[in-house]
Amino acid sequence: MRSVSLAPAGLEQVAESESTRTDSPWSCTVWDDPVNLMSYVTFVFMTYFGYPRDKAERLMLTVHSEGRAAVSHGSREQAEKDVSAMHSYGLWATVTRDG
Amino acid sequence: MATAFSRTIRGRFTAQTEPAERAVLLQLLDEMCAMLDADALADETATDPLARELGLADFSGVDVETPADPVLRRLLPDAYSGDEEASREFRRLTDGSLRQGKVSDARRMSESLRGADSNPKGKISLTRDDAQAWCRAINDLRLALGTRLKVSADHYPDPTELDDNDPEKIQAAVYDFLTWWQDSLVRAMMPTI
Repeated sequence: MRSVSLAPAGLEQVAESESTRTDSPWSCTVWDDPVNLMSYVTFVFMTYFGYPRDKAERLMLTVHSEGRAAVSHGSREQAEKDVSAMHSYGLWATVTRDG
Repeated sequence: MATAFSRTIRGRFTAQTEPAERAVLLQLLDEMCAMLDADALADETATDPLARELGLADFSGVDVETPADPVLRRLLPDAYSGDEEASREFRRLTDGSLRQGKVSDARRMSESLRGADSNPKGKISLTRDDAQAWCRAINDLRLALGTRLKVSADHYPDPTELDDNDPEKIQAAVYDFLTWWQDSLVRAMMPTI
């Protein structure tokens, strides 16, 4: 289902990332929310993370269909910074630990 | 009736509005600022004096509780699911700046709404930065209204089905309007990211 990408594994794939990315075990996870618009969520992922539109839309659709998506990975500090930013945009996000 | 947002060749984002629409939005924005500010004000008195002196006003010296009001809880959510201790520590460090950011976005939106009073067509003209703040402020308003209206995957209140005397009718109508308006602003901005 997913297209091939040159991006590092884990940047966009929730399931695979959980056991393989030991060097960046923390994630910013965005949860599905009945209020936030699909266009707005895509816009936020493009604006804040600088993701290209297709990747931002894919992540948005994962949030929508699976209830959540890990949208960034890294140190705990980075994950907290990203979660804080998501809250400023009104997205419902939490810091999660992979694996 | 307000028009959808469009992007001008000069890169501004414009829409026309009616005075009544602006009045309703200004009132809601004021209410939201009051909600976000009231608690912040209470926190301010408890801020560690040393932190304040060092200009670290955001670093509240005391615990900041998860808000009891569902609207505030949605605007200022826990950062850790199932880890109260980590959530509390995160909130202690970030609550002030998150509130300030939301109030500042709402004030910026209010300012451009008031600016439209002097335009015969009620035209709003936003820079890219204004538009960013507007997107967030509209979203916060929708989160607040959506929480009050208990919007969920299975429940979306239709204003045309509500009784005229039902206080939720106007909330649902504004929610509907803001949903459409925010989408138009986001779509106008999308090619510029």
